[in-house]
Amino acid sequence: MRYRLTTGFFAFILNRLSGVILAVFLIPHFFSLYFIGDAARYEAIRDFYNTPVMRFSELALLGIVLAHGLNGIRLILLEAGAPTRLQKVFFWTALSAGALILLISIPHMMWGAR
Amino acid sequence: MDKIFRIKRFDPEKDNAARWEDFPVELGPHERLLDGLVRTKEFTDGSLTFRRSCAHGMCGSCAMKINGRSRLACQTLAGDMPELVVFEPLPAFPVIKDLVVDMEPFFEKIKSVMPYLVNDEPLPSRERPQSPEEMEKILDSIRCILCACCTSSCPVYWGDKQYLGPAALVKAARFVLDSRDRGGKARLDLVSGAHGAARCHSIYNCVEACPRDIDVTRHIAILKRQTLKRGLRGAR
Ligand code: FES
Repeated sequence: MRYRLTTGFFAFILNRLSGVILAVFLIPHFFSLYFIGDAARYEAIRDFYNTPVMRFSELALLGIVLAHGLNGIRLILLEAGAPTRLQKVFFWTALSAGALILLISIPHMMWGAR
Repeated sequence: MDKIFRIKRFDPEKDNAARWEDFPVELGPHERLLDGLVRTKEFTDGSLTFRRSCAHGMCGSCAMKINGRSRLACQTLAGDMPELVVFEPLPAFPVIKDLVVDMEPFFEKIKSVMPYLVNDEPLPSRERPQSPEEMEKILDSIRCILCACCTSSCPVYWGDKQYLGPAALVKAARFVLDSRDRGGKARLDLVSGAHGAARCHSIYNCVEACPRDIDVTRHIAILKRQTLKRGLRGAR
């Protein structure tokens, strides 16, 4: 279906994609929690999460959580009765707020002490 | 002002698949695209098929996809369009010929939400009066002309043809909000469920497409809240 991409449709696609990614992410997440059996394993898992690749993936994860969560708040507000004419403003606000939080977190997420 | 009308054509008696055809059209900036279509049919190709009746944005017949968006051909000025104007039939409905689609699936959805006033109370001697405040609540939704611009623009409807769609939900909200109507509960039951109001993902394509500037999604959100309340109370 070729149709002009509107802000709302873009927000919807973003929400769907991030939602699917987060749902899939939960599976390995629970597994890694489950395998923390003793102190040694805990250390091993912690070291694994401290590698640059995993640190970057966690940063990406934060980005996806922010996109999904903030847009979710936008939708809740709109469906609870916030005026429709604000839907685009809300979307760009949510997106910029998310980008800002992500930017501020880069130093800590990538190089901060663990 | 010279325009190229690129029209997606399909004649079920001749074509296996849709094909594109270009027509050069001369239009003044204050003429409507519909004028160009009518002229093309009259002077260039009599087989070009499209619907139109009022030519004044009141009947909803001339809804089609123009430059990637559902809208009324009779309400779109040539001056607001680029040189190349692309015409396609309304998305998501079966094409009958050229720009004419089968609207039956659309009207079925409208009919399914009891689109009429329900009131069994004894008839008053004159009309059923409404206060200006009560009337204000339905002022937006009563302007719908059933053109299907909203429903055809809705990504949820593209994916789920059983979904009632924005137009039918606006029609339901129009009566739910009407102070004279007593069919509220039954109508709310009709718009709840997997293919009802809750299916809406607040994408707002309908609001952007509506030629009457109806705040469609606001009406769907009202139905969402009322059906939710009714569901929580155990549908008494
Ligand atoms: S012809 Fe009636 S709405 Fe366009």
